[in-house]
Amino acid sequence: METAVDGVILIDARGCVLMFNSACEKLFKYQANEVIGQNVKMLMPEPYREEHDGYIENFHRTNERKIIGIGREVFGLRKDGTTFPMDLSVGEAKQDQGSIFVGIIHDLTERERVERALRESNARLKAVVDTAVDGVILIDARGCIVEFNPACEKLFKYRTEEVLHQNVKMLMPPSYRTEHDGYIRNFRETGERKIIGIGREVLGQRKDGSTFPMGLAVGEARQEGESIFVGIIHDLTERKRTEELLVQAQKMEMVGQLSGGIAHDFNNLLTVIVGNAEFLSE
Amino acid sequence: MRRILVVDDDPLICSAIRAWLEESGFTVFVADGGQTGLDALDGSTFDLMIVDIFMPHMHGFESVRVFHQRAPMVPLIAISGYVFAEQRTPAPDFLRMALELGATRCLRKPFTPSTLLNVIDGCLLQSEALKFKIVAR
Repeated sequence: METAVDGVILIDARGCVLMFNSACEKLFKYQANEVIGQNVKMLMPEPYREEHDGYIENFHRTNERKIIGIGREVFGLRKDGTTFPMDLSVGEAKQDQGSIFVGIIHDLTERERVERALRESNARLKAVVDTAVDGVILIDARGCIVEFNPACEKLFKYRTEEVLHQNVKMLMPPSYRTEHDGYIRNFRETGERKIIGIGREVLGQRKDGSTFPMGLAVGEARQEGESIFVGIIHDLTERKRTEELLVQAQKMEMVGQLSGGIAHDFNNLLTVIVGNAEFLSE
Repeated sequence: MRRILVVDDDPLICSAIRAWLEESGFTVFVADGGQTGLDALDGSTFDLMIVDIFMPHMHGFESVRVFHQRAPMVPLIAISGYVFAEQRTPAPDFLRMALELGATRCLRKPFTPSTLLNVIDGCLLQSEALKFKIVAR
């Protein structure tokens, strides 16, 4: 990436350009001789142009310096009529003949591009998390919830605002809470990550106090030097129900066979007893 | 001397039935399972077989089909003590199923010696009539 040197421009108290460095030439696409002697507002799109006239006039009337020393984000106007974002800082240099003003111009085009890319990337990520069927939850290194996606809202029956900044253990039945406190404390003291990467079957606790079986996978991410933890939650209620039905069916089958078996033997005995009774009586 | 094969995995049943039948003049062979029963069939001829439907190692009703196929001309009385204890499951129609598989008659335990003998007589008469018909053709 080509690092542009900042543009420097000098104007007098009426706004007339006195100096226009090569960086400015590159930025504005004007040759210096096209600009020097002209009013600096030729380099500004509206409404900045009108604004600048105001500043100049104000300065003359009241000696007020409105934007001196402060950096501002404005737009510059190129020779071809296109605009670009720029950061402008203005300084004053007092001379015998009067003040001249120094403008330092920093091109923000690249930063704009990067920011836009970031916004798009964020939007895509958000779309993934928002539409995911599985619950996605982010906590910081102390266990405070920082993200709680719509799937989580459905699963736990809390709205995001109800859980944000609360400790994640509110989503666990009491028996799991101390365990989790232990994990957090262990991590903060030793840096050990006990359940990262491993999937576990645990119980989640809903707003109404009811619990449900869930698969939990925990990943770690770094953000600004801090650790954050991502939990992916998969509802296991259906699977557990099916398993339970299977076990019940098997039990019933066994009981059926068992009692059938008993009946079998019992009827055999009956046959022998009753039969022999008749037999012997003849 | 009529020869009867009794196949039941319960030795008590076997000895009881044998006692009743021998008293009535039959020669009785007992087998305690599907395999021994089939072996007995291979070894001799019988005039009638009495086979327990639910025996281990025979898949439920298979015993009826297997024995009937082995000796199709020998009348087969299927006896069953198996009752489904689960009230919710409907009791299968043993009679119909056994008959379809080749049984001549069906008896549900417990039965009395007189009942059994009546059924045996019936089967043997039927079998005679059948042989007669075949021969007469």
